[in-house]
Amino acid sequence: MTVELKPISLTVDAVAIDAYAKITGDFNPIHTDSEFAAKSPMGGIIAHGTLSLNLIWQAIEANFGKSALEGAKLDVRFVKPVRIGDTITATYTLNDESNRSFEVSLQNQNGESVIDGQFWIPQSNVVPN
Amino acid sequence: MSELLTFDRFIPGNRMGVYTLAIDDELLALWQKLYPHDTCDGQTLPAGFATVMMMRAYMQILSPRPPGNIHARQKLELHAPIFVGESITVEMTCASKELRRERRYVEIEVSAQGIDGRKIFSGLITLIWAA
Repeated sequence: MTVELKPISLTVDAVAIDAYAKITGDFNPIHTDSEFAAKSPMGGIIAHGTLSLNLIWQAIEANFGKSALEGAKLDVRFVKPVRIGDTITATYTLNDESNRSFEVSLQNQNGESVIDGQFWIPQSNVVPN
Repeated sequence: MSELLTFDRFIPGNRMGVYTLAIDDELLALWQKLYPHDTCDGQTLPAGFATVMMMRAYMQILSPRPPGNIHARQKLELHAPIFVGESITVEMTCASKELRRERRYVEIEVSAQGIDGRKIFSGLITLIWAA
């Protein structure tokens, strides 16, 4: 069953990655040093994986309310790096109403998945706002 | 200086460490610039700070790390909101390790408690360890 939910997006620039590095304390040069990152297998700076993951929590709150976060859970894989200039959008479909699970995919502007997986919310909050 | 945390030093079932932290106003302000749609109600932190606290604890507890580790998968459950300014204690345990198709997989169980002992978040970090 497809449920229309508000998508949540974020454009990832160098400022965003730098801010997230400060927030998490993760200054791994793959995220912060363009020269280092260019010489790495990644070929350039990539964003922290959880910078995009956080969009899932924000999507749950935007669609189901803050109370839906208590007891919410996710299980996701990081499938593709996010690069400077990418716009990441979280999209989701209702997977199973009986166990309140949703398929979630965070995709870049090219429609490529960067994070894939599922999330679950408490039963009383399956109907979106 | 501590010995580098290499794959062979992970022991499934072993508690790896505990880290207590709180989020200050500066980090909260940075968050609100980064995610302007994710507002703080002044009493509880945005839910994404569970992820942040988990990552901050990971960097302190699983240290020193070899360069090049990959965060492959994340399971995370939120149990209760975090109050603004609250100290949260995060504990990490090695859940498993496995060599799979020449890749070193490590799973780290994480759990966090609030200052009153209430469960805040729990999860499992799956990493491909570099060395």
